[in-house]
Amino acid sequence: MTKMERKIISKAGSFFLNIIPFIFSITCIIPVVWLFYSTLKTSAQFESSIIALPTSFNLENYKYVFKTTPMGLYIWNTSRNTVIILLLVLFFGFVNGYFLSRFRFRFRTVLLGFYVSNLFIPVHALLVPTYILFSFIGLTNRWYSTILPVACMELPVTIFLISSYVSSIPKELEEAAAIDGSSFSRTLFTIILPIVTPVLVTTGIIAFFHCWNEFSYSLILLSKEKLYTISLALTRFKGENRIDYPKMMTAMFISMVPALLLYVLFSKQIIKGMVAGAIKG
Amino acid sequence: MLNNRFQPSKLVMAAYLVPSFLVYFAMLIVPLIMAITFSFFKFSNINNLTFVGLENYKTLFADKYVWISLKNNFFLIVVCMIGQIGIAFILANILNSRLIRFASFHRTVMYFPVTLSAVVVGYIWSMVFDYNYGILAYVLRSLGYKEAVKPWLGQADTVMLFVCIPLIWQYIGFHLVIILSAMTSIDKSIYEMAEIDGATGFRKAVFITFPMIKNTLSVCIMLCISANMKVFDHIIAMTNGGPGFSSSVLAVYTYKKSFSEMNLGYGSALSVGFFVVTSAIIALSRILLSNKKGEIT
Amino acid sequence: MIKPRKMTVLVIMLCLLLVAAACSTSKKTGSQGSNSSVQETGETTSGTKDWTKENVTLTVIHEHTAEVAQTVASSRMYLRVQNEFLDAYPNVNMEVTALGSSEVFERLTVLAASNELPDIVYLNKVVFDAVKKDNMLLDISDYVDRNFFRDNLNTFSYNGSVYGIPTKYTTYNYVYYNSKLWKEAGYEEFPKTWDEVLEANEFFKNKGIPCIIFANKLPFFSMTSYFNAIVHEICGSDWVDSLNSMDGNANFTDACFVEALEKFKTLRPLWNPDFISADDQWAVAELAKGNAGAHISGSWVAGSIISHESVNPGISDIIRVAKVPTFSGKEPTVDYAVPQGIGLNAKLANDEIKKQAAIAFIQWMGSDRYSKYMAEVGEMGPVEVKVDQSGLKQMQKDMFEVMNSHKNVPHFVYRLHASVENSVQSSLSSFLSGTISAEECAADIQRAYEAQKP
Repeated sequence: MTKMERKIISKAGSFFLNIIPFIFSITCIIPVVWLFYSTLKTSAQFESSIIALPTSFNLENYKYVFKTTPMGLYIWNTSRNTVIILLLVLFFGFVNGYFLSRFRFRFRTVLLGFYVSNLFIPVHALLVPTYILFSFIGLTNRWYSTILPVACMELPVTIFLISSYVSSIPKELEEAAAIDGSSFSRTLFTIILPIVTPVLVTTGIIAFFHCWNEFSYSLILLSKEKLYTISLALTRFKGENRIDYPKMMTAMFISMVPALLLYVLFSKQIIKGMVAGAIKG
Repeated sequence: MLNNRFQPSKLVMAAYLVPSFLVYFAMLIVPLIMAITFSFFKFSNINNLTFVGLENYKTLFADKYVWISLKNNFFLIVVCMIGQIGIAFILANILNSRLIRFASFHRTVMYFPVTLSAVVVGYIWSMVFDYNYGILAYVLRSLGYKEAVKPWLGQADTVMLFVCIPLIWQYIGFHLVIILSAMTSIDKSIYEMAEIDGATGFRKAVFITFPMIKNTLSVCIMLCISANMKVFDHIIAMTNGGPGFSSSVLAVYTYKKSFSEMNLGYGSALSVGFFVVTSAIIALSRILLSNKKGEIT
Repeated sequence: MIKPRKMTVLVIMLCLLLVAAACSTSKKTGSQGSNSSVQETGETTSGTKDWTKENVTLTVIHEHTAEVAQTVASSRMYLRVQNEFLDAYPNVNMEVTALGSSEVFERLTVLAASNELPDIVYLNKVVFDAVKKDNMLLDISDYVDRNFFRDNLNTFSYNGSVYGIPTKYTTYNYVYYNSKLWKEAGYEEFPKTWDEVLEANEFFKNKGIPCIIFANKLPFFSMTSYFNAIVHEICGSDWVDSLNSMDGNANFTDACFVEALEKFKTLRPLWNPDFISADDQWAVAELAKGNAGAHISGSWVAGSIISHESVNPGISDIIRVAKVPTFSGKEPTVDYAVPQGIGLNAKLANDEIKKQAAIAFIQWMGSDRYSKYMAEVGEMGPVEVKVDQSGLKQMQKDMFEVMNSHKNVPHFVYRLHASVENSVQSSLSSFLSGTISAEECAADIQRAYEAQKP
C-alpha cells in the first residue's frame, strides 16, 4: 500500500467515523425543531398535516398561553424546587457515595440495601401511602412539599454513580493528605470534590431534568394552583376527548427553552473543566 | 486494606450519613412499608380496610395478565439493554477518538431526547410508525416493499419490538453521558502507549476502555434494568397497553388495577411482586457480571 | 451494641406502629380535611343562620381549565354556570384546583383512598364506586328531582339514594358520514343495515380510503361506537338488564353474546388496517379531510369538524350524522353515558352553613342552565331542553334528531364494577386483532364478571 492509498483509506475511515454521530445527533435535534414549528400552527392546521411546515409565522399560541396561563409563576416554582433539590442531591449524593465506596463500616450493607431498594419501587405504588403520610404530618400543599420526596427519589442514582467513580480514584491521594495533617473534612472537600467534578456534573444534569419534568409527586401533594409546577400546568391543555396539541406544545416549548439553554451553556463550561481534571488526574 | 488511616471517627461518619438516611427513610421506606402492609388488605379507601391475608398474592399468581406483563418487561430489558448501553458505549468510544470533530456538540445534543417528556417521544414515534403517513411506511413503499408495511403498533407480534425503539433512542444519551464522564478518569497516557504498540480504535475500546469502566457499566446496567421494569408513560402514550395486553408491562397493569379499578390492595401486592422480581434480576445481573471483590455492591 | 440486622427489624416494627397510628387517626378525623377552610362568624348552631350572609369557602377539583375552555364547549359552559353562581352569591368563595382530565381523576382516586375528598367532589364511575358504600358522599336525594334529568339520576345513585348529579351527558354512537362520498356511492342517506354498508365498501376500497374509519387506541371506543348497540340488538335489552343485576340468568358465555362478538368481527373489512392503534382525534381529522367515508364516535366530534372549516371550507356542511346501522334492520339503541358528575362530601354534614351553600351550588349546577348553553352550540346536556336550532349546522340538528327519536341506553355493563368494563375493553381489543377467539374472549370477561359476584 502506498502512502497515498493509506492516506485515502484513513480519510475515508475518518469520514465514516464522523458521519455516525452526526446521523444520531440529527435525529436528536429534529424533534425539538418539530416541536417548535408545530407551535406556529393552529389546531386544525396541525391535525391536517402533522409534519408539514407552517404556512405562516403565527405567534397566536404564544400570546394565548402567556395570557391564560401564568407560565412565569410555574417556571419559577419549578426552578426554585429544582435548584434546592439539586443542591441537596449533589451534596448528600457526594457524601454518601464517597463513604459507601471508600470504607467498610458496620451499617454499610444496610444503608446500601435501603438506597438500592429505590430502584425496585414503581412510583405509583407509593402515591397513596405518601399522601396518607403527608396528610397525617400536615405537609401537603406547601411550596416545599415535593422537595424532600423528589430529592430522595434522585439520591440513589447519584450515590451509585459517584461511588463507582470514587472507587477509581487511588487511595494514595487521601493518604498523602492525611500524612500532611489535613483533617478528614478538609480532604473530602478540597481534594476529592474537585476530582469528582465530572461525575457531579453528569449526575447534576440527570437530576436536573428529572426534577424539571417531575410529575407524580407534584400531582399528589400540590393542590393550590399557585404552587403548580410546569409538568402539572401542561396537563391543563388536555381535554377529556380532545387535546389541543399546538397549544400544549407551546407551553412545553416555553418550559423546555430555559432548561435546555442552561444545559447547553453549562455543558460547554464543564467540558473545559473535565479535560483539565483528567490531565491532572 | 480495610480501616484506613484516613477514616474519620464514628461520630463524624454518623454526622455525615445519618441525616440523609433518616429523611430517605421517612420519605420512601415508610410509604413502602405502608404499601406492603396494604397488600394484605382489600380496599378502595381506608375507611373500608378488609384483611384478606395472602388472597391478593394467590390472585397474583393465577392472573395470566401479570405473567404476560412480566414477559414483556423481560423482553424490554434485554432489547433495551443491548440497544441503549451497547450503542452508547460505541458512540462514547467514537466521540473520544481523535478523529472526531465537534465532539462537544454531539455530546450536548445527544442528551436532548432524554429531556423530552414521554408524551412527546411517544407521539413522535407513533407518527414515524404510522401506517398511512409514517416515515417508515413512506420509505418502504417508495422502495417497493408495499407488503412489508403493516400497522406495527397494532399487531400483537410486532408491538413490543416497535415500542422498544423509542426507548432505546431516548436513553442512549443518558448512558452516553455517564460512560463519557467515566472515561475521563482513564489516563490518556495508557491510550498513547497502546497506539505506539499499534492498537486500533476497536482494540483500544475493547481491551482498555471496557475493563477500566466496568464499574460504571455495571451501574448503567442496574439503572437500565430498573428503568425498563418501571416503564409506564411511553407505553401509555404509544399503545395504552397494546392490542389487549400485548404491550402491557407491570407498571401499566399495576396502575390500571390501582387507579382504574380502585383495587388498591391488589395494586400493592403487584408492587411487592415488582419489588421482588426487579431485585432478583438486578442481583442476578451483578452475580453474572462481577468478578472482582471489593467492587461497590 | 445492637447488630445492624436487629436494628433494621426494630425500625421496621416502629414504622408498622406508625402506619397503624396514621390509619386509625385518619379514620377518626372528622371535618379536618387539609383542603377546607371556613371563615365563620360566631356560633355553630345549625339552621338558624342564613348561609347567604356568611363567608363560605368551598373546595373543588375539576378538569375545566381556562386553557381547555376555549376549544371545548363542555368546559366553557361549566365555567360559565359556575361563575354565574359565584356572581349571584358573592359570599361564596370557590377554591378551584383544575388539571387535565385524567390527572384530575388520578388525584381524586388518591384523595378518595385517603378519605380527604374536597367539599365538592367531581365524580366519575370509578371514583363513585370506590366511595359509595362508605358514607363518604352526602345523600342529596331530597334536594334534586330525578325526573328532571335524562338519566333519572341513576348514574350516581346507590341503594335508592342519590349522591351525585351529572355534569356531562355524552352520546357515543353517532355515525358521522361524508354525504358527498356516500351520494357518489349511491346512497342519499346512510344505510340502515350493515349488509348495505358492506356492499358499499367496494366503492370506498376503489377510492383507497376506509369505508368507516375506526380508532381503538383507547379501547372503550370498540364498546361505545359499535358493540353496545350490537349487544342490545342481538341479546336484547332484557338480557342486558339481567346481566347487570347479576341474577345469574345472563352470562357472558351465553350463545347470544358469542354471536354478537362474531357478528362484530364481520365488520372488519370496513375499517382502516391500523384501527387497533389509531387515535380518535386523528380519525376525526381524517374524516374532516375527506379521507374516510364515515366515523362512529361521540357528540364531541361535531365541534372538531367545525373547527376544521378553516383548513377545509365547507366540510361542516358535507358531514352529516345518522344513526348506527343494525344487522336485522330494526331500530338501533343510542348509547349514552354520564361520564362525569358532582357530589358533595359527607363531611359537610358537620358544618350547616357550608352544607347549605354546597347544596345551593349543586342545585344551581343541576338546573337547565348548562344544558341550555350547550344546546345553543349544538351539544348535549344532562337535562332535556328546547332551544332555537336555527344557528346550528345540519350535522348538529341530525344529532338531536337521532338522540331524541331512539331509545337511549347506558352501555351494557353500566352497573358492573370497573374491572368488568376494563375486561370487556381489553378482551374486545385482543379479539378484534385476532389474538383470541370469540369463545376465549367471552370466557375472559366471564371470569372478571364472576370475580365480582358477592
